[in-house]
Amino acid sequence: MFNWKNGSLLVVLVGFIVLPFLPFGGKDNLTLLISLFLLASMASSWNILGGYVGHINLGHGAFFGIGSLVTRALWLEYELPILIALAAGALVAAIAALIVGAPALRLRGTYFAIGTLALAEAMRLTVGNVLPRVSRLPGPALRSYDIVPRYYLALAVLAVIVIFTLWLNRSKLGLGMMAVREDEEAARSIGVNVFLHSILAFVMSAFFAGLAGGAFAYFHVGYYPNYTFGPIWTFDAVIIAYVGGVGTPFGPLIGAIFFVLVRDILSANLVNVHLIIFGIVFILIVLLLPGGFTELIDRIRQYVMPDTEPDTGT
Amino acid sequence: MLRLENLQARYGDIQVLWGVSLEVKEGSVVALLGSNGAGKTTTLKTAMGMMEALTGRVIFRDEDITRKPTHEIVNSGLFLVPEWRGTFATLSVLENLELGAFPARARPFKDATLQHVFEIFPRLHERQAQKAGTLSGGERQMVAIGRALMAKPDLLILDEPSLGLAPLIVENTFRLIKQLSEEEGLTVLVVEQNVNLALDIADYAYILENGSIVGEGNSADLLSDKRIQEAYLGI
Amino acid sequence: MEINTILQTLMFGILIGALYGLAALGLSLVFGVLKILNVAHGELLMIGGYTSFLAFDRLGVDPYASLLIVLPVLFIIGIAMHLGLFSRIVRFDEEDRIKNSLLIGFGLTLILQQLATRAFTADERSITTNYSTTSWEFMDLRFPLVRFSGLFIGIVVVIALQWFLHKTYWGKAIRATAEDWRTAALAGIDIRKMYLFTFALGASLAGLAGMLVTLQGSVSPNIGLMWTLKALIVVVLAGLGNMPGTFLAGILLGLAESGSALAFGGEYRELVGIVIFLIVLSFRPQGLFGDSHV
Repeated sequence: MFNWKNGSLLVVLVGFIVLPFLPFGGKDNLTLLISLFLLASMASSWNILGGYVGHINLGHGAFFGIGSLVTRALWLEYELPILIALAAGALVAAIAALIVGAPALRLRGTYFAIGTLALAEAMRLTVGNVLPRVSRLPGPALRSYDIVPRYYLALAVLAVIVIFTLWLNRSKLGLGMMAVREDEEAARSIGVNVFLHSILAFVMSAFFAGLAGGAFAYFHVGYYPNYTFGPIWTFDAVIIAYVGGVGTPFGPLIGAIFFVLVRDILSANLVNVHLIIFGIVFILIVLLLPGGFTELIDRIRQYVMPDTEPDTGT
Repeated sequence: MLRLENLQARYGDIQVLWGVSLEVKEGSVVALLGSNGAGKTTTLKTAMGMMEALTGRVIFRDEDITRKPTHEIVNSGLFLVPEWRGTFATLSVLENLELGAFPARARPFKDATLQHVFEIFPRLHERQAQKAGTLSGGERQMVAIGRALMAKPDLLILDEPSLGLAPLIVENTFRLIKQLSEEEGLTVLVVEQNVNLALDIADYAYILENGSIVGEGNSADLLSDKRIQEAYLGI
Repeated sequence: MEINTILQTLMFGILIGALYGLAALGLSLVFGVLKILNVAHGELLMIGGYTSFLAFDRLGVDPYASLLIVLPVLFIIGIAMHLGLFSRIVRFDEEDRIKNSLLIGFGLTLILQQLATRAFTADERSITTNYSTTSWEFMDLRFPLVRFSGLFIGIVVVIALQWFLHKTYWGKAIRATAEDWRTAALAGIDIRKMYLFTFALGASLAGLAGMLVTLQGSVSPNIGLMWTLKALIVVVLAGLGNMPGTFLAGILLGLAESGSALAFGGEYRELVGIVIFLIVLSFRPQGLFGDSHV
């Protein structure tokens, strides 16, 4: 199945790449896809710490915010090329994670979760207080606004994260992380450095969230500075990751596709009903199908083709 | 009074009990012996509904209690003093004892039983307002047993009553068990690693090894059995 | 700064702190007994607020009297929530329990928020009675009646809870369950019933706080998260297992916020709570008044 799967992935990727040149690659569809890529990126990056190591980070959005803040500032104020601004944003997010992670990861499960929640909220409030409540719409950037490079940037960010996660899935590092998730004590006793694995996962997940944030800044340009620090980015990421299949490389992607589909099918008729539906699906998955849609797909596959190896990596 | 029939149980994927059967006749003191890890505590947990039995049955007074929830089992007259003693550290001695009479069958007799417990354990009467967490090991043992008595059980199960206690206290505990059995007709099942002590007070004993019963018999017979002597008494 | 302004601000801090404390009581109870963190606690508070608002708006019921409706309604909602959702995760061991409760609470927050928005729109609703603006004047200070009632009710509730937990059989059984559910089961206590009752009680307490919040300010669909966070801060600050301590911690939080508003200006009052929270979390996770078996 390995080649089959990789082959079809490649096809999908190529499809995404050539899309803007196709007749249905219009502005609306590209915007939709950008939203999809960003959500999937957030969910995937959260997945690294939350899915593979098992530490629930409820402040993930803060790294998204940092990335977007730094990227936008460097790109608009200091007029650095977008790619450099992007990298810088992600780097700052990673450094922030390093600083915060060392003390934060000493906390046990729940306290880590609510600690990160509180930290993110503190960041949001501070940014909201310190930076003026003006969403700047700089003339020159707007005049030459073209959706296509935004599309490719978002696609590239997602691709990087997914490729990284695929690598992580089969690497020794990833294995160590999963050991920590399953049983910290046991992992320690076989020589896994729990703290190291945790902090690495934390920093990497922050880095990727920062990338996503920077891509968002490039895409959205005009918004209040503390918008990207809002809890909704974390919430969406967590829910998407779980619904799709936490701890797997493609789970978050599947979840994001489902999320965007539901949102778009339903938003035409009923405002925000999709959130209710999503909330219900999420709870059902937590209670009944913890592996999310990925587990569902596996089970169907096992049923239809009984001796197939599920290679989704849990 | 209590019969375990072919109990099998698992911890996750690991099977721990491979068909344990034993019987505790009314009014007797029965010992369940075995070394560490033999599955003694697992057997008790399964009997009390704290673990699910894969197969097999637990019959108490001709009633099948295998699938009953723990508190209902306690309410029907079976009481386990766990190896961790289970005293509530943040509650006072008095509150601990009072809680012992929580089961409906015991509640009407709460005050009378409390007096009785204080007669047996005068130290508890002295320390009744103290938080149980501040008591010594021996005193906590008293609270645990006292609480068991408050529940007016028909069958009392004790899991490793000698564990972690000074020899004098252990001696007293076993003497008390014998007393309760003889004077009040309490049926007792004792799980113990200390074979000498257990066989001293028990009428009948079972030997558990690796999750199966490998031997049983009257205490007298077992004490004189060569194999037992070698394996467990270090003779 | 005038001494009057300082006193008034600090008093206000105590009064809002009483609300924080009330909001936290239910959360602390549920966390302590069931070992789950219901992050939808704030949503329960919001529901309580809306219930009292509806009672006032549609039926003309006085908000304090509406408690006769709010408390049972929230109790029933709590029962439903527990039976439907949280009871399914209490059979996991502690770590999984908390993780799953966080997630479920998350999902609930989302759903309840959206349901409230659809039912009531995103507008703020408040209850304005003819005594809403009454206040006593004493030594140049204003004591708003409605806010003081919050403090008063809080004290009454704490006393009632203490009596319940320490003087009744049911209450002692609940404390025993909180400490060691295995032994409690062995003592013949029906753990499931204890869990159910405690959860429902926690919901009622949240509803009570919600009524006061709506009376003193307003209710809207998205206040849930803010109140959950406040309640969390208070619970961590106070530690578990101590109802009066929790209420007191709420008041302390309110005071701290007011104090910081005086010292640093109003924009940072929210931040103070979070900073205190993080400090306590890092250095004294069992809280100021809690038992140290956290």
